Amino acid sequence: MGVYIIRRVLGLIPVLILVAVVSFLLIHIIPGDPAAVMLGTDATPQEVEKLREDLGLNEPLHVQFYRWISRVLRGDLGDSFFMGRPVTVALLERLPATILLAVAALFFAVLIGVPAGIIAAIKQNSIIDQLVMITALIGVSLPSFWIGLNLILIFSVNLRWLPSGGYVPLTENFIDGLRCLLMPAFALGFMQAALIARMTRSSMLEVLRQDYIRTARSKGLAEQVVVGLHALKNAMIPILTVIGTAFGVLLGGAVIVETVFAYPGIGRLVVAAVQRRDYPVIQGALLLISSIYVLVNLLVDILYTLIDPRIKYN
Amino acid sequence: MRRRLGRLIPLCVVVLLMVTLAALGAEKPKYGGVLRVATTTSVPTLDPMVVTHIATREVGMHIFESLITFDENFGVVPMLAESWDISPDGRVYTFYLRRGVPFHNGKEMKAEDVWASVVRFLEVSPRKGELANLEEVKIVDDYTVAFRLSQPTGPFLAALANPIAQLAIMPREAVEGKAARQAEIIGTGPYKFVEWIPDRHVKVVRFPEYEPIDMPTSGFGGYKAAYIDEILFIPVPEPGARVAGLEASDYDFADFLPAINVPDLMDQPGLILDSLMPYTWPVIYFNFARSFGSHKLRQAVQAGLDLDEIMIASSDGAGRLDPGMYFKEQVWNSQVGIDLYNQKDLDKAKALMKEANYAGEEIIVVTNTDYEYMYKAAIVLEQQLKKIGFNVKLVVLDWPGSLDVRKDLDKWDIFFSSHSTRFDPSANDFYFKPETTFFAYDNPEMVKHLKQGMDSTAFEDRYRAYEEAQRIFYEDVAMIKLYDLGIWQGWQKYVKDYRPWVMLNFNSVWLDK
Repeated sequence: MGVYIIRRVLGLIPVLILVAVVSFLLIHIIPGDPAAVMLGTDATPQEVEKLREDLGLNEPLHVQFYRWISRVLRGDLGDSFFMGRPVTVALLERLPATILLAVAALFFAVLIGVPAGIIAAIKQNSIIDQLVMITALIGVSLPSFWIGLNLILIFSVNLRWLPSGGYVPLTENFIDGLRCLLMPAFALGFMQAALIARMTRSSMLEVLRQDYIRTARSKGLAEQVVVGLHALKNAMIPILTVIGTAFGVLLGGAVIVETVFAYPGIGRLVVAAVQRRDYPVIQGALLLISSIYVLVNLLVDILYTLIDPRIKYN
Repeated sequence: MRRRLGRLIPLCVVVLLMVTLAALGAEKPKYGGVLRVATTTSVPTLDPMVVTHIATREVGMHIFESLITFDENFGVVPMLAESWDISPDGRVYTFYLRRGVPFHNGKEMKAEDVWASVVRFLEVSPRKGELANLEEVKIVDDYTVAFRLSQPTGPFLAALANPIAQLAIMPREAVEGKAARQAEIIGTGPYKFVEWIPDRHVKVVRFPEYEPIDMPTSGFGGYKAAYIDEILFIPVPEPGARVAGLEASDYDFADFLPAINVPDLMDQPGLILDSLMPYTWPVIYFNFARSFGSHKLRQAVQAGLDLDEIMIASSDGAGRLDPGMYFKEQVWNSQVGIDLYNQKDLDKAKALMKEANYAGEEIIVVTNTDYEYMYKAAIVLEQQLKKIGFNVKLVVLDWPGSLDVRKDLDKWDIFFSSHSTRFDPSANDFYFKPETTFFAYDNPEMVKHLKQGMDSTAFEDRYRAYEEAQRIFYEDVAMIKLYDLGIWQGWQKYVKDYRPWVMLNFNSVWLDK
């Protein structure tokens, strides 16, 4: 197992290098000059040119990449053009908020998705099943920003129950922090809840048709025990895979939701950085999100062995 | 009857007086409260000298002050200096500082602080070029500072007063030897800086020892007071979220509201909506290195455009037509060129196009979606140009993308942009000087007038010079001003004495709740 984990961690290195190269190339291909954006329309071409020179943007792309990647390998993601601060600091300042949002969204997604999927599977072809599946279909189809704006309209503007945006760390004020978190987490998690519900349903249906489930039932075991203990545990592998993927998607999806809810996380930082062509911030954020994503997937792979002892990584 | 009326009149007067007094009493400013302001963007830094970013200057407006500032006509008035002399040769400006003005760190503002602030400005500010003629700053005594220039410089006072990348007067120890963005955030303004949590808020609190100037309030100048205990500048980039937050009372004030929401917001009894007019003027640049090198062809566009239509379609009710390169509210405004502005003469346009021997060359119009008014204006302009007979190709990018295209004179013919408030006409010079223009404009006569404006110090001489420049602007069709555009702002009714003017300014604003 230990060898497997080391092998997988080493395997992450080429993945992250690939992410670094692709993110660097992509953002440099998009038309836009950070120097021109920073100085605005009132700057002379000479001033723009001088800033380009100062920022090292006039050097060939491969030289810029070499300079950036050699700093990254030393744990330094460079300095933001716009903020004039280290990208690492800017990301770390916002990381707790984004992780909290993603975890809360995942919590919603699992809390809604898994029970809904189980109920739909047990009551296959019933009205409940159809209701759950239609809701799931709607959930998959609705964009998170639309859900977010409607939640604001209902719960902030009309009912005035929750704040329309913002962020308060839970350690600072738990209740206020929770109030700020509820709507963005739900808006972000709803689509994943739908996906998890669909996956849980199909996985459960497959397991519920197995012989050992029939045996368990014929032994006279309570239905809750059959479903909760025997069926769900064996259906968990694909569900866990979806949950693992969902976490990565939630980190990426936070880009939109954070903007809608004025939530000060990495997603909003990325949006602003793209609008300003703040290359170091975009590259650093993509690298960070990718790293978390692949690490979560590794964690999911390890969790497989806990759920299903037959799985061995030797 | 006459006797009864005779008794009633004094009674009415007394009642009226009482009502007036009661009304006046109700409007007496109150101290206290927290003001939550939803802004459009985060601050990149609070160091006031080093960036021109709107968020930095709007927060800085409450923390920092300059030697001099602008009144509501954009004339220069005292702020930290109580007065100044100009030597007969126009080269030495001597400023006499107000006494007893404390910084937020408790120290009194003196000449050495002014000297240190100017020295640092010359090192780190993107506007340092505006003080290129400054030869020496000399401390005459604790309350007197002299600036010696290499030659008389018309925009010198405006450069000191400009709130963009502000020459804020800060304590010597807060700025001396401090690199860009490293200054300590200490000023003399009504509010002092407390904390900046990136993307969450900037918090400033009332500075009880603030020493206001004894002059009537006007523009950025005159009497200011800090009534509110705490102001939170909260960046909310999504316009819909600003609207919802204002409606839900999560914010007391919201900037830059989408015009589409304004009618609904106006119906809400607890809110006040007003436009900050003028805010900017949308403009189209011509690329003189391609087809629009032809004067006749530029004149054809100038003659054929219907600016009313463009304004109605793109300003969402916050526009007005005016030919001035400087807003009506500014002392620099002139109506020269009005005959050539908004002509709406299709026949003349077609005739000029024929005279220009236009043979259907592709006209590339570049606009962007980041500024909706530019995008909408471009859609209408495209149709109007087609009506004249131009072969138009509309290119829509985001703002950074369009700026990138603008650099390459082979890739565009017409470019959409806008001009914000110019605190001095010289801010426009770079467009028209051959060595700094980006659209290949070149007219020695224009340069001659701009130089006159730069070298003169008397207002009348400078006004004449820039009025002449505006005449050439229209005759040359150097670019086309479309209209003046305002932006919508909204606030709760209990926010008192806020007046939209140039940029966010909550000095002397108070909360009635």
